[in-house]
Amino acid sequence: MIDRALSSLFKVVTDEAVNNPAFGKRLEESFAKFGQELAERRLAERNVGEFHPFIEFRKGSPEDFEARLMKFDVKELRVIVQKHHLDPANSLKGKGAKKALVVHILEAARKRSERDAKLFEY
Amino acid sequence: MAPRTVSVVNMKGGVGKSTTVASLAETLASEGLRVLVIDLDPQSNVSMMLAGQDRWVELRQANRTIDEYFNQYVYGGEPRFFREFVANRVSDIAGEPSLDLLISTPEFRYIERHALEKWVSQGFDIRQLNTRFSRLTHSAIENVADSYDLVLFDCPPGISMFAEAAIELSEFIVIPTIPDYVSRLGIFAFRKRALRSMEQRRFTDDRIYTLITKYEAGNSLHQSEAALLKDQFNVFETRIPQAEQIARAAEWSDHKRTLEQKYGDASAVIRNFAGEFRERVGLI
Repeated sequence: MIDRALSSLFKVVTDEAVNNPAFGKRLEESFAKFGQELAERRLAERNVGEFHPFIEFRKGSPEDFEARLMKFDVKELRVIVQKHHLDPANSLKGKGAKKALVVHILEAARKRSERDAKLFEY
Repeated sequence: MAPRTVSVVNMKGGVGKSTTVASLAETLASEGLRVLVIDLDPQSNVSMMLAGQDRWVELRQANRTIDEYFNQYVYGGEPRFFREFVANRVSDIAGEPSLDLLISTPEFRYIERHALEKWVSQGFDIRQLNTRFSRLTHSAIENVADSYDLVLFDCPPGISMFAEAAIELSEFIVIPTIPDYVSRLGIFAFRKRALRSMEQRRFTDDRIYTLITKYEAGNSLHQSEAALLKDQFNVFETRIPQAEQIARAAEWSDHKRTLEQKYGDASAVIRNFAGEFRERVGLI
């Protein structure tokens, strides 16, 4: 009986963690001290900080932006992709070498910038 | 001194326009300002929130509605001053704050159509009709100007001729926006129109404010879009959270309550927003 009850309970928690990002993140935070991987991810998030690709892209030339991206490591670049929803079709599959990630972010920022410029003209 | 006039508007529905108007009006009135809310939305949400259903029905039966105010100019009849349509001392906030309201009804959606039919058949073009609506709205506010510090227009989603008139009359515009992709598009669609109106009166776009609503701090999409909004538009620092208590506050209470009882933990944020609003529109 207890195994089915626990199984049901964890299913509820799992579903909620998947469907409610705030809840999921809180769960992650509670596990962080035990997980090296998660610790590394948090470090990457901290290093990315307030860096917003769409905002930063407009501050200078694409070359400057690319150079700034190259200063991030692979984990940090993945954080940028995920945080700003830059791979909606999951074409990178959570992987990608550093150069591929930089090109992907650069292209996404360029497209968004062009589209926004058109909206401001609208 | 003339009241400050502010339109709360967004092309998109469901972004929290009426909730923003109701909570802002209640907070400012409870702080001692004299506030008039004019409901331009046939959904009548802010009317129900601020007057409660029972009083809304009474006002409707007494023909003290915005549709009746405009009706007299469309169909003629015994003219009544604007102030006669206004309901005094609405809201369920304790202390009888100086918060007045002109209610809307679902019938309001037909007034514009009837006015268009009648006046176009009389030879008026759309531009003239716009001017006429603007003048009617302007004279309405003039009729009560000495009674209020602030007039808040709750505009419907989309752009009606009444909303246009309110925008043309307003010194400031607040655009509540959920920080997501489609809501941000709603700002672009509307901003140009608002900007034109501001420029015609030699105002600048720093009078058009975006208010982030239904914000979820743990949602990375909201974080990302909110940062982008702040970079691209004139955004209030305060973000109105997605909170159950704010949604619950929409329901009328038969017993008077404090702002804290009504809005719960969100009341602090609502007070912060009201403070920031006062500073920006010069109501200190």
